Amino acid sequence: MKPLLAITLGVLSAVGGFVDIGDLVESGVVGAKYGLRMVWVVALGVIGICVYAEMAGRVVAISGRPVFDLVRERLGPRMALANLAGSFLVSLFTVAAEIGGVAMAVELASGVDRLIWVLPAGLLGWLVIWLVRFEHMQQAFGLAGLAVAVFAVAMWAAGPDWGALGAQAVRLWPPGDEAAPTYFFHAVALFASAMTPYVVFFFSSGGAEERWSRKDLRTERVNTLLGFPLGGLLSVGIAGAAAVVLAPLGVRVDTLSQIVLPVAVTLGLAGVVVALIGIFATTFGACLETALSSGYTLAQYFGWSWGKRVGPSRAPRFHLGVAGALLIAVLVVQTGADPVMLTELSLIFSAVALPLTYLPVLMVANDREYLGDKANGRLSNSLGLVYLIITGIAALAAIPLSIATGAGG
Amino acid sequence: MNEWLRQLTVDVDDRLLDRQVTGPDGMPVGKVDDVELEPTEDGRYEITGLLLGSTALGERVRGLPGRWIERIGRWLHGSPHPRRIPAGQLLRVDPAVVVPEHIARDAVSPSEEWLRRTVITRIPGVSDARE
Repeated sequence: MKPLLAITLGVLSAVGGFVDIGDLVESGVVGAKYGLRMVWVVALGVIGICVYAEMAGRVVAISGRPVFDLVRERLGPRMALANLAGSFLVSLFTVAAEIGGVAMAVELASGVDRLIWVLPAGLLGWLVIWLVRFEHMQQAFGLAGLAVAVFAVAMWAAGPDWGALGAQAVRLWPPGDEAAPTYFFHAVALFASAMTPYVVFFFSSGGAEERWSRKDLRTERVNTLLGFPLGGLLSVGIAGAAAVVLAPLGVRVDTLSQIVLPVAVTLGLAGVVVALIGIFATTFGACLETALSSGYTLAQYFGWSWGKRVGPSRAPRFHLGVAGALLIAVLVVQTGADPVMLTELSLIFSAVALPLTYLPVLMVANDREYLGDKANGRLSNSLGLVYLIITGIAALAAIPLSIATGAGG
Repeated sequence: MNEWLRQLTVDVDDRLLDRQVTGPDGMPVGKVDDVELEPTEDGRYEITGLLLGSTALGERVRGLPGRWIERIGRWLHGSPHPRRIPAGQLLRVDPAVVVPEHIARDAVSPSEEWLRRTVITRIPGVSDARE
């Protein structure tokens, strides 16, 4: 159990990037539509987030400085403010989407309309952040979130034609009858959600919350190299279940209940219960991650004291920021806004913030004043540069693609 | 005098501006939002103080967002003057700017203090989340 507990920060961070509400639905949509033809995008995203989370984690372990600290220090107050505005909106929309996701999961379980559950979900999020220790929080939701592995089990239980699935997984191009712009819109959406900025904000600030130091570099690496690929596998499992069960039936996925359908068909009620627990844990975990990230970015830009390692009385403005983000999110979802639409909206802001977040990380990871002998080697720098270019392309392509395809419709 | 202060020249933009300021225990105090410079007799400039707070930050952000930050800062703090830490008080830059305990206490933001006293400590469970 102990080694598993040591990587829960990586797992919970990865959950927000790979299996939060937007990704649950997106993976299902993509799986039903394209089979496993998008696995390369998930793989690309996993490597990218590993490269940058590892750098950010290393910077925090050696110098104690979390990511948004570096953003302000390297980009100066003006550019960093633009990034803050973009990143904060991404986090805020995502908090709203996750609260909506939690409410939908409870609706599926209870049959009571989701709008009833919005305020309780937001309130519960605030209580957990206010009262529960950081490590207990991440362990509970990181581990419970692993229950979404039930989708992979469902895929296996459906007895798929593994050869055909394997052939899909190594293809980089849409099937003949599908439009290329729609395919690439989904590719950009999956990639951007894997590398979404709040994941590194949360991971690096979490490292600071756990007081990582030079001797924790190994823990930091294990967290990145196990946590994020695990998140990627969970999302492939969801796509795979949809590909095996829903695609042959010609089901077009656009609600959470359709995502759970493959589990219901293959594993019955017990499977559905596990799936709903998993969905509740991942969406609620992602809600905590994004709400905390809103506070982290604000506090680290302005230099306020922050975090759960000190009590709320020593970080009042940080806690006000977190509570404010949760409150706004609850109000947004309470209007009946569709959580899936909210995540897609956040993608546009994410596009702006991506390069502005990763460039300062790459710069500081090369700075010997910060890292001494632990500065980037050639491998980290080459990969970092390649991914900076990829995020730049994704950022430029995101808005035209979403307009051209009507957000993937 | 510590090693950092003995430096004859320093790249203010690279080594000082926008750095986190903390107490010796790592507790955040604020950012180096601006620096105070005084001309010396030989025509150079000496750093005499670090300026913290939104009134100092607003001036460097410029434009409409800068004016807003400055206005909100002035409204919250009730003073147009940023908080100031004398340059001679710096302990080290590691890469955060570390200042002694008593300086850190004096430089705490007034709005943070106000929020702590009037709102946060009145909510139940405040001390429970402490590590």
